[in-house]
Amino acid sequence: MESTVSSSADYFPLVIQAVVALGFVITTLIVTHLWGPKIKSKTKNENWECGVESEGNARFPVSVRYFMTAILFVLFDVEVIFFYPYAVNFKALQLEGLLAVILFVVFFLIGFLYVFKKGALEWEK
Amino acid sequence: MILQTVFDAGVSIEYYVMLASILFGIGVLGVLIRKNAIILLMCIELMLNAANLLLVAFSTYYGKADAQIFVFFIMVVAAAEATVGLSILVMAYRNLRTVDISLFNKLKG
Amino acid sequence: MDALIILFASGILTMFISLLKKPVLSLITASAGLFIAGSLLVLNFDHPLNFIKYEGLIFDSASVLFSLTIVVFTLLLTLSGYAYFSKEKDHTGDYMALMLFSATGALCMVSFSDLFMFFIGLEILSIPVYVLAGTKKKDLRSTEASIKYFFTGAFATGVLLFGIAMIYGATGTFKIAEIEAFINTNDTLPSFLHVGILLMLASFLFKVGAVPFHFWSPDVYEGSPSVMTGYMAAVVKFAGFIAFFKLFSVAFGGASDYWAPILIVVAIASMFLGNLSAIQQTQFKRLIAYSSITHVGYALLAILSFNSLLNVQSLWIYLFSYGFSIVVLLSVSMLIKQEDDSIASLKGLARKYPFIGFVAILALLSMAGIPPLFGFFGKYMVFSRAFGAYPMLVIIAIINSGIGIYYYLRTIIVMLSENDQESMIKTPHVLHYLVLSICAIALMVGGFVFV
Repeated sequence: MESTVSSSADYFPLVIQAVVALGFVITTLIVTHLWGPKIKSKTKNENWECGVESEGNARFPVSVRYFMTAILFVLFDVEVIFFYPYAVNFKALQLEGLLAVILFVVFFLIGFLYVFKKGALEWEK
Repeated sequence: MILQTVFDAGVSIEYYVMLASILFGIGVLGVLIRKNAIILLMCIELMLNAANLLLVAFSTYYGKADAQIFVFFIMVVAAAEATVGLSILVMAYRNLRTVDISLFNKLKG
Repeated sequence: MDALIILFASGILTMFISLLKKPVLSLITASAGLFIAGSLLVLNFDHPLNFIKYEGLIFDSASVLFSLTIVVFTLLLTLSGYAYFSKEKDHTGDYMALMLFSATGALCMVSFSDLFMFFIGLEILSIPVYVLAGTKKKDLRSTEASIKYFFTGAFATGVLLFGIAMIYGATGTFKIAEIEAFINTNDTLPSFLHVGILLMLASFLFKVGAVPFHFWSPDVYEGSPSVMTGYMAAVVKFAGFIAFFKLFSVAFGGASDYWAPILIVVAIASMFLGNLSAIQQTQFKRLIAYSSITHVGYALLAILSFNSLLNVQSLWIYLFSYGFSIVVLLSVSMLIKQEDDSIASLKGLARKYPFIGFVAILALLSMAGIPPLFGFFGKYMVFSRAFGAYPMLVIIAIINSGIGIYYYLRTIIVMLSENDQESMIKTPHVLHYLVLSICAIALMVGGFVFV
């Protein structure tokens, strides 16, 4: 009979794989660094060597409207995790669970309605 | 040798406690020594996540699900808190053009 | 339970009515919600409703009493803060809705029966207050107060959660009653529990603003709008202390050998540091902040010396009387015209508006603990109960009360003195008179009604 408790021998292939993966990456990095040709020029040092020429500073102030949308997304997105426990216990919770989730969604929608009415999602003001 | 013991025992609860404590310590240290408000917020999130990890580990240890439900709520609360915190920071940035907390020194007594 | 739902529903309603941009309508909805919630609590005082299937929140007569206190203070502050809130017509209702939501959280915090609901309540209480502290958007001090309050609050939350996780690790439960039973039945307590208690203690001291975690409170109290300062000092502190009491005196009571010595040191340090700093203050709200640190020290005596919900009454009376004084003083502070609210700008208050001056003096005397007023009874009950177990601590507290009288009297003298310059006091709103008269009655007769 096979034992269900894993012993150290079971992990051995995993260790080998880890060593090989790490070893390959490290060796490649070192070897390319040593053997590769070193060319330094202005074009070479650009972020995008090919394609559209970059313009201006990357750290320019972004309009606060993006921020509003992003923040609202974070809020509404995270609430979704409450659906996971419900989805798992969907059958066991029966009608009562459904009503609870509907109530939850209603609160959700009230919040959304408020955001909408308040004009937080309007792009052009 | 250490690897051998870990593999033999399976991952026991002590390691989770240690990992969570280290994460928590990094978070606390970050809050105490960093000056950038965004990084402060990240460190606070790290503290909350350390607590989450600990709760999930203990929940598995006791074979109960209640702590895992707690973790869901902590995640939502953390998101709400981060939202409010970032909004406050945007307001501060509009007024002061910085998020360096050592420059918030108008109140002194 | 019914009050909780009413508060939440009226919060949502106020939020939507705020879209109409008519401040009066928001005020009516918010105060009606608070009033209905309060009257439901009074009506069902002996038979409070509970959730049928959920026992995380238990409304017994003690928690109904605490809920009522919270509702009363929130109502008073909403009314007296109306003049400030209605300056921004677009957001009046939003601010009031946030206050109602925060009060909902406070209700959870005084009636929880497991750590889970306690945490949720604490967050519902705190998050709106972070926002409300920064409502003076153009004022740098308000922004700064908001940021400071947010970061200290969020940090304390992190510490608290790690403490909760540790306690769960030691006991395997979130329920207060089971944790209490675990501590009382086991002789040797696991070290996780000790760490957990220590972390929770630290975060509670953060939240109520006791030494050595008090540094945020003067800044936050000064920078926030006066009505929110009042809310923090009256409601947030009240809910914090009741939760503190429920957790430490009751649930962790069996392990008191472990945390009591820390709390004794904290109490003594809070009293002295609060008092000695308050003497040097020239700004009114900073004075209140430091004096509130002292009051935290006195209230910690109650946490130390009681061990059952039955004798929580004296802590309640103490915080109740303190809350009325706070509401009065912060309502007065709302009337100061100048941006920096120095004590000197209160000069001539009692001469220009005799009634307001009279109530403010009552509030200060009640805080100082002068006998016929409500504050005296609170202090007397806390001190006399604590005297048996900690006589030295009570003597120190009485000495500190003596020091406190000095700066309260100094403020009173400023209010009474003649003002030869232009007055810094705004014309009070009619709601101010209403709130101040209610508080005056409570401060004068409260001691005889509730004790």
